[in-house]
Amino acid sequence: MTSELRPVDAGAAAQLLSYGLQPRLRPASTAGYADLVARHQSDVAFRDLVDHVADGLGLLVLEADGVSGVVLGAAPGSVFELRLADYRANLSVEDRLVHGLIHVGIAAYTFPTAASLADDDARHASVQAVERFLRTASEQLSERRGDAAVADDPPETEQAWRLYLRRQPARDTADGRVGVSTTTGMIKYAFERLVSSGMATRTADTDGGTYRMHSRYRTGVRELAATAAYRELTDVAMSRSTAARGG
Amino acid sequence: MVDATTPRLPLTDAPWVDDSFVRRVRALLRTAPLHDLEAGKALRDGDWSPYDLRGLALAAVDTVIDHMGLEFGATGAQVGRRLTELARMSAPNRPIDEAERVADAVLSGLLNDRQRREAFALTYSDWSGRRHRRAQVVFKLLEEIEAPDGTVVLRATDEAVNLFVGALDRDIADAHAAAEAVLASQLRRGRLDQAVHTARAARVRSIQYSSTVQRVLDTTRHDIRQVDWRAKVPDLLSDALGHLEERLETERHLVTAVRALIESHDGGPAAVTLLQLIEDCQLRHLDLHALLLQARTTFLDEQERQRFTVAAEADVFELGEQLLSPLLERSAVDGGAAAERFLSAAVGPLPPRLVRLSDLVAALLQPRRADDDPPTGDPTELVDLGDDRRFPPEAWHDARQVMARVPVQGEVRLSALLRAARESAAGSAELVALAALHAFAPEGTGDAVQATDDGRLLDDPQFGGRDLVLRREVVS
Repeated sequence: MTSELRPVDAGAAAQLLSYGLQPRLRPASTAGYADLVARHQSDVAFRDLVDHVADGLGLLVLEADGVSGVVLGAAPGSVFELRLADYRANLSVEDRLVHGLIHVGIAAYTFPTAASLADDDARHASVQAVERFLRTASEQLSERRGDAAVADDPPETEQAWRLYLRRQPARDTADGRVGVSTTTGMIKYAFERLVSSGMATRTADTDGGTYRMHSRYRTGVRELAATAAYRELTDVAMSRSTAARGG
Repeated sequence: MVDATTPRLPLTDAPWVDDSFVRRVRALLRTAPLHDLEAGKALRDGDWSPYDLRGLALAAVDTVIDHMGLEFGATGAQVGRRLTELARMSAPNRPIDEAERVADAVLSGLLNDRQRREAFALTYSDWSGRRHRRAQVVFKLLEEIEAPDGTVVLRATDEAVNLFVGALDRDIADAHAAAEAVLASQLRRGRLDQAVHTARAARVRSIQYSSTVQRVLDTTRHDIRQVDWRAKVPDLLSDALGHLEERLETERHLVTAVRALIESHDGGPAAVTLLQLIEDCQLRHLDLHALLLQARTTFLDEQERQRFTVAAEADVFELGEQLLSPLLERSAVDGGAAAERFLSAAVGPLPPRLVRLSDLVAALLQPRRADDDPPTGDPTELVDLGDDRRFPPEAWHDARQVMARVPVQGEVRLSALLRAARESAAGSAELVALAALHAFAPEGTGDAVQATDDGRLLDDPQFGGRDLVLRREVVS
């Protein structure tokens, strides 16, 4: 179905995006939301309009369905893009790398295969499981690469697995909470951020905190995060090799 | 079962198997998770010998399928309660928390929690091509999915439904027809309890059918190239349509038959249940019918819309190998950007200055301020809206310059001054006009410039009124 668009439809498109920016809202429990999602699914002209409004705002419509509603991503440099300073203040460059690595670790643990990234069933992950997962991967690299002394290297050139292993998994604090600079503390922080942005729900306190990842999390990882990060990695690799050939 | 297309080989030929062998092996393997559960119970904490984990697993699948009707599905808690009840019945003297642990273990086994809920993957030997080949069967039994209302419910996969219904090697459409046929025959023989059971199975078939078509349409909307609209889908749609017509026909007969039973009071309560079930089935079929009618338009619309979309990134992405492993070996210099990009995209867009519900609730729950407190204005109400009516310093400066042109000897008209002011800073024309008005009706004393009105109208794009005559008074 394709309809003639009128100015009022631009309002509807913006309304749909505004629902998408409130990830805890669901079409089934929000009046009007389900109708707009249904229209987005069936009316091609309206979907194009939504895409264009989103584009102008610096947003990407990653998916829209009756269960999760609209899943949005932020274009690089857009006002909606989460900056590391918004994530956590006063981070050094190495801290930033480890925080990013932890998010990649959570996703890779939750979706172990390409097929699981395309599925639609609910997946769980826990703080302890992700910590063990990342530590094992780092230790395997340590065994393979050896612990060749890198003491003189500045921290910003140190590889992520070394940075990870350098940090303690946990340290007891006086009040029994996990220290924030330990890997467990950082992973817990990552999960809690995902909870507050509507990407996960805490389901149990076991294993340092167990979380159910929502389907919008999977969509965000699959449709945006994975490819965007991968492109960054390969861009660096390519510019390196170009520079090497040129030099 | 050997069908006509299977080549008949002489029996003297070396060992060989027909096509149904593979189907049967694969069917057999799909029950393996149930046997694994049972076999693993010796390793559990405590003596679980009184519990039949295989039976409980099947009961779990039953419960899930029973809820797969008009509701979204059974929640883990519902299934857990049912299994706990059943487990308690098999070992009444054991503590209740043991029964709960057994229920948890069964559910977690069916979901394959041990392998992070990946599909079960089992290998088997396939000799059907007259040589040995190792093949794999990959399947799930139960899945947890998000329901539209945000709850999480369990869903039985097609494999599990087949396991449950007992039609181990049929495809959806065949099994559907079979279920209907069985139901009709049971009705004829007056075996209503059985018929209710079969009608339940038929309803699940109806739901399954709709979800297959729905999935095709969803994929089409997402990326039309992933769906074979040249051959496979038209076949599927026309098959589905053909079957629908048949089903609606059959169910009409069934409804008539069951209604007759109820009216003659031969059916008992089972007949009423059966009638409701069949009517629900009919509703499901009508849904499917609407879906099928929509399919063609969806295809055409999407073809039009996606014609020019650029080829999407590779759809299969192995997070561990393609992202995590390379990133682990990068440093902040050459991997920092990728890590940050991932983090930012995974956490999702952050609307600027979003009011958090938690802050709002905290604010609302604050105790009321005492009445003798002086009322304080909410600072957010005093926002600078940018509507700044003050004149900039340049305008003041320029306006003074213009006003300085008012001569001591002789006079000048306001229109001339306004023309001069328009060539200087924005706003100075207004200031000049105001100064002229002030000179016409001065407040206070000491004003050097006097204005008089000789009746001539001002011809100005911005101001109306009289074209005043201004002159400077010499202060003595």
